[in-house]
Amino acid sequence: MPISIDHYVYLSTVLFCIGVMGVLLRRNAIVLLMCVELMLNAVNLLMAAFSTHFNDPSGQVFVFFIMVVAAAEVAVGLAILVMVYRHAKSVDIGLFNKLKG
Amino acid sequence: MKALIALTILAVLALFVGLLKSRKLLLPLVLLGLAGVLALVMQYGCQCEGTFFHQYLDESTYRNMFSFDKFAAVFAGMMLVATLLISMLATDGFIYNESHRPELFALMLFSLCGGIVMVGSTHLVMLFLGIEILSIPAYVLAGSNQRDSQSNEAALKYFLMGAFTTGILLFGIALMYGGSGSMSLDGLMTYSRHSEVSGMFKAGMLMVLIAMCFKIGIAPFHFWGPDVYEGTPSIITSYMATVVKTAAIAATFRFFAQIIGHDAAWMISLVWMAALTMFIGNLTATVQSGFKRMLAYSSIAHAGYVLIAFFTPSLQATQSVVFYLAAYTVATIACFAVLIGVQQQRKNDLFESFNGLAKTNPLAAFTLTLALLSLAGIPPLAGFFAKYYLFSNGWAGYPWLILVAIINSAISIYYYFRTIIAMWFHEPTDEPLSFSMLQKVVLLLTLAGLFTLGLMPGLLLDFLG
Repeated sequence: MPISIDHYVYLSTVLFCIGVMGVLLRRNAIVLLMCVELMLNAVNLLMAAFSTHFNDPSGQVFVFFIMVVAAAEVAVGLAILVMVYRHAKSVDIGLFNKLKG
Repeated sequence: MKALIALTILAVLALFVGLLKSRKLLLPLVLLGLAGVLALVMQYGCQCEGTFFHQYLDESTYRNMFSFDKFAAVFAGMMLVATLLISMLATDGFIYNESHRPELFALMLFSLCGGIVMVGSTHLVMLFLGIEILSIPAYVLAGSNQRDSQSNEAALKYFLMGAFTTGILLFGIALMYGGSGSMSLDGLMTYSRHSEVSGMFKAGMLMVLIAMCFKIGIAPFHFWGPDVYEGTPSIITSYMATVVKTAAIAATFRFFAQIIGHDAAWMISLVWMAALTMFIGNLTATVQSGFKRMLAYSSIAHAGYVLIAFFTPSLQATQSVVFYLAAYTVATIACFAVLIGVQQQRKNDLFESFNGLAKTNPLAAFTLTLALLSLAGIPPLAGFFAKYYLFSNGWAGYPWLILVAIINSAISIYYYFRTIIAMWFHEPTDEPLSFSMLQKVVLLLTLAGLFTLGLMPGLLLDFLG
């Protein structure tokens, strides 16, 4: 059976949904970060697949942009996590409920 | 484009000043630099012809990626003015992290670069890059008060929400690309108007719209806003409530007023969201006990009002968005200028802390009163004319939404007056606040802005064509 573009769409949608579920259900901030990475990598896969499908390089170039930005975002995110951990001695997002109203 | 390059260089220079022993250079450098960039933008904006949007596919649009047209110039100018005013407050605003002042300025300027990329973006790649350049420094700024656990929590929440939203935005962009084979605004517009629109494209558009609603803070995607606004140091909150919000609204307007402006099915769901946003913002603001959280909810409500212009895309609608955001920005900065002073000396932002401000600090009380009246939409201030243009243009689209907006304006008067009453009719409980010279200058400038926009709206409207 030839692998069509639809297969890629289904695969990356499933990966993306796993990422979304992880963000919504898990409590550990580092796992949340990993789930966000999963979402972004699902997008990368989809972009590369569409790019080949359309024979148009712009989708593949976008993948590089996503990778670079994701790396920058994770760098900042981990720095924030370290800062938070120093105060709370935990990265469980359930503990962060001081701001309410 | 020159303005963008100049702004980036300015931010790098601000970082280098951090290496010097004497930091007296920093504030003059930032203020002069921002004024210079503003002059570049204004000069460019005056050259542009009447239409807001470039006719696409011309040399100046950088292969359809980025177009510094009149629309971008106007919003860039507005964000620069806002940042200029906020920088003047920074002497007192950044007091919590004195040793990293140059870095905080630099981050703010880098973030502003992202805002300018966003308002000029005509390609989904540039939209994404603009959002990220705007957001990543903003995450750091939100957590810049490391010793304060509230600031930490706000940074973590802002970051997690932002990263999650980015994922949704990107999946949406990928699906839009998959549906239409193009990522430029030009290509997307052609596709959405002329051919049978595929389900994949619609799903992608829905996800991008949801992501933008998260960024702007449109209900039901607004829940992160008040927490983040409250925990973030006030000076950064003022930046988030004005510059970040303006950039997100402008970018959404450029994309969606043009792509879905003709499609009733999209519109009606957005109309409901606008109505919901107004009600949630205003009703929740009435039960707050802190001034800052009240401002956070009021900024959500104001985003709901601005959505009205999205439903009748036209030259007038674009003008009314610009005018509304200008009036909102000026008034919000005035509120934060007073709030920063109050928070520093009273250590909280409860309404009681404003008691008797009219007797002890007449200038601050007068400016804050007028700013709140302007946000409520009382003539002859800027906010009244802004609401008037917005509502009268929107009447052609969905009259019932305008009625909802008017009811909401009436609700908003209630909570704006709580602070006003505290300032004018309650006896002072504490010694007078002291405002620095620069804070007073900001108060006077915003006061002048509120009156100028309100009494002579023609000045801005003529410039807009």
